Amino acid sequence: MNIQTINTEHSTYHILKTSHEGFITGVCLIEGGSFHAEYAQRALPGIMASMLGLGTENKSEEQINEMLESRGVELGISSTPEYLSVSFTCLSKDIETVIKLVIEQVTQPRFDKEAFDNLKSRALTKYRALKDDTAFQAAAMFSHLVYPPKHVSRSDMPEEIVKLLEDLNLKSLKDYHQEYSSILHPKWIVVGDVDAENIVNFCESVKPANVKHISMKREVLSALPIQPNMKKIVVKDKKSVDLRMGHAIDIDVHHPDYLPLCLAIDALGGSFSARLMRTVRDEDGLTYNVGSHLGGFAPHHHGHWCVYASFSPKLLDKGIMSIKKQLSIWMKGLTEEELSERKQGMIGKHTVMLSDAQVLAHKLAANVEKGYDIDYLYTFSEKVEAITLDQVNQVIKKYIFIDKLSCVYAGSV
Amino acid sequence: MAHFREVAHAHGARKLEMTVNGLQVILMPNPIAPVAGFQVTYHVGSRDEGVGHTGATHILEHLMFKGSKNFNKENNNNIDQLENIGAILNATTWLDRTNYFEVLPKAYLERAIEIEADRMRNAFIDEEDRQAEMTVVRNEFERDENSPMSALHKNIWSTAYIAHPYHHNTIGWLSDIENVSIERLKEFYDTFYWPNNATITVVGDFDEKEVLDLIYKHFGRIKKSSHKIPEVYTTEPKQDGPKRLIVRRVGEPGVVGVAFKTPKGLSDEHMHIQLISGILQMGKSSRLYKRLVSKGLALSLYAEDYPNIDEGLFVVYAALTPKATHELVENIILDEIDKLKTELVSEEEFNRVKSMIEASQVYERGSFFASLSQINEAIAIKDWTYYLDYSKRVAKIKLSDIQKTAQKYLIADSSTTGYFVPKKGD
Repeated sequence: MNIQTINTEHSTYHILKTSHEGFITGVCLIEGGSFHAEYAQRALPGIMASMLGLGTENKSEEQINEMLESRGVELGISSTPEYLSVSFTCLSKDIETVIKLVIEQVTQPRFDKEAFDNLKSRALTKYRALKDDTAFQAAAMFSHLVYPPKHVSRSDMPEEIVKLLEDLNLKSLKDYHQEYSSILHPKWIVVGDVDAENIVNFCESVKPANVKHISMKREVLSALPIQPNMKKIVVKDKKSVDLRMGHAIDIDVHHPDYLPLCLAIDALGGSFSARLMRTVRDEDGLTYNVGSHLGGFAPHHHGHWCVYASFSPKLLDKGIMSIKKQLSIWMKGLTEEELSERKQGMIGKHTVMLSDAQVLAHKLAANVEKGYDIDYLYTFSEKVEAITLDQVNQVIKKYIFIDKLSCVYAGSV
Repeated sequence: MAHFREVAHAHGARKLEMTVNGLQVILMPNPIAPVAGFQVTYHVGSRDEGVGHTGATHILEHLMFKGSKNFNKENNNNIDQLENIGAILNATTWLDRTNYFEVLPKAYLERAIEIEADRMRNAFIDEEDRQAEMTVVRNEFERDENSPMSALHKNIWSTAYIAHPYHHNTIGWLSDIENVSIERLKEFYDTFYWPNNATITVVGDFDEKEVLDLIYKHFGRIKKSSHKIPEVYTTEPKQDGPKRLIVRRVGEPGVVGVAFKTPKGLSDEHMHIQLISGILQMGKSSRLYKRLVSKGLALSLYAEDYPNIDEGLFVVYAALTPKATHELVENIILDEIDKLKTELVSEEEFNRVKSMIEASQVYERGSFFASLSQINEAIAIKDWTYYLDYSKRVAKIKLSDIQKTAQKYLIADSSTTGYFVPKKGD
């Protein structure tokens, strides 16, 4: 499988023909993510993404939905830190219809007042409900302990999001859209039963004449200094408590230590066979769900690592102690055998995941967003294979400080 | 092929039976990537549990990961070690079945086969593991209880059924999870975990002869059960009037659930119910999406419309926005159901739903996880071709079938309506 990358004057195409039959899946990335809105208007890109699906100047929301669903097309529009992301899956015969519609939706939204009011009402309900969501509360508060205000990886607490949404009006949405009134340097990632030449020719024939860039509105900020912290959030009437503990990591995804750190975190809590699941769950029987991951790492930013778990309220203290015990052991480093197993596991899992066309398309999109070479999909395995035990054990010592953990738990405690 | 006889074939897939022990094997070659998926589906689910041991099927599923005679932690080759060669593995338990699956680079397929074969009859199932795993499952139960939708789902099913074991949720009642004995779990294992009560599925890139040889090598040595596998004989009595319930707890948003008893999963009428569900809530062009979500009255819609062995439930759930009351949303759902009974659906609307179903079938064939999941549900209801033939069966349905089935099954006397009403937390 070879990815064909084609650059035209205003667009980039990454096209991969696979053995999947009869359908095409992909992602169109367009500048216009949360980096491109002022901090005070940070709710705009997400709401804009939803609004784009609610009708164009020439087609009502109902007509668009009929058009897509009568062909069995799956289409979703969302926002990421850097991009407006349109993901789609359709039968191969319908790809031109989908491309044309995506461009129309992005460039000529209808901005219907009633549709906006209903969208806002649904969004408010969803975010108000998050005050009772222990997992969301724990994760959001954890981000407050790691990132300063205005940092792009700092999640808003439910009441902050609600306030932002309440202040949002249709005019602000229209003004924001005016800034990119035509499609902005789209990056098309197209995978499956696809003819590359046809895709490029068609996209080029329907793209708008006026294409421009938009500027970044958000500053690139550092994380907060790493220091111990503890926060408790009480949510009544909940049977399970959610826990997050970890801290900022002072590198970005391009740093040579990033992949060894990924491997170290994977060995700690990346799967059933990782240390936390084998001990805190399997041996101690304290939780259904425990693991660790790297997060944040928005483009141009550093990120964080975090252990997550859920516990019965009466087992919370034991659970935290058990996790801390495992962290202390992990700090001493991985064994050669464990390194070899985790490497083989990461490489094998990568192969397995790439058998699914939709996963493949989203992996490619994620690599584009991270600023990786498009061939990263194929060089990943050799990069993992090249990691040494010394590298992994050094990055644990260099970037992880278990005496300075930020710890949040949310639930009926 | 020496040790197998072909039972059937369809759509490029084959079903075989191992002559020595009755093990069923389905082969679905699909060489889109150097990857294979292996799955064992046991014909045992929470339907097979009685009072005092609800949740036993699910706890047993957890204990199956604790090791077996030849593959265990002491030998450092327990099943979770398959992750170290890139396998994505898990297991699920549901009303009518339990399945264990591994999707992995094809070069390692035998590793999955030999571990699954070993744990079919040699799993440890011991008390020390039960004690540790009981609290794990209890936390799974507790996490589920945190969700308004899950809480309402459990209450609707347990209200709708009075005799049939679909009455209790697969995870079981808390006191049963905490108190079921290891002897009871072992007895459960010894009753249901046999080759003649299991179906293997292999999908992906593999050589048919090689894979059958491997299956025989590892499963061929297991004898069939000396007892007849028990079948559930309880039949749910006819419901004679509408049932209503309210769950009042801290948690947002409010939810309405409207349920009706359905015919058995393999019937044509159940297929009609699934089309009815599509017309009502599948996609943004669906009737309820337009009236509830597009109008800002509901945050989202969700339906349970899957086929079961026995008479199941068709449930439509709507999560409410503050603009809506439970009563208003319930009335809109009932109004749309009434229209299905009194007016024929338009060809255009009907074709839209059929197109969505047909396209999703094409997409799912491109994913080993989706393929395994579909065949697993088909095996559970005892027709492995159910999803392979799905589009063909859907194409045969007539507009009048939809109306007749709606009139017959979507009636007040067989309904159960539930509200999740948020209680103030502060």
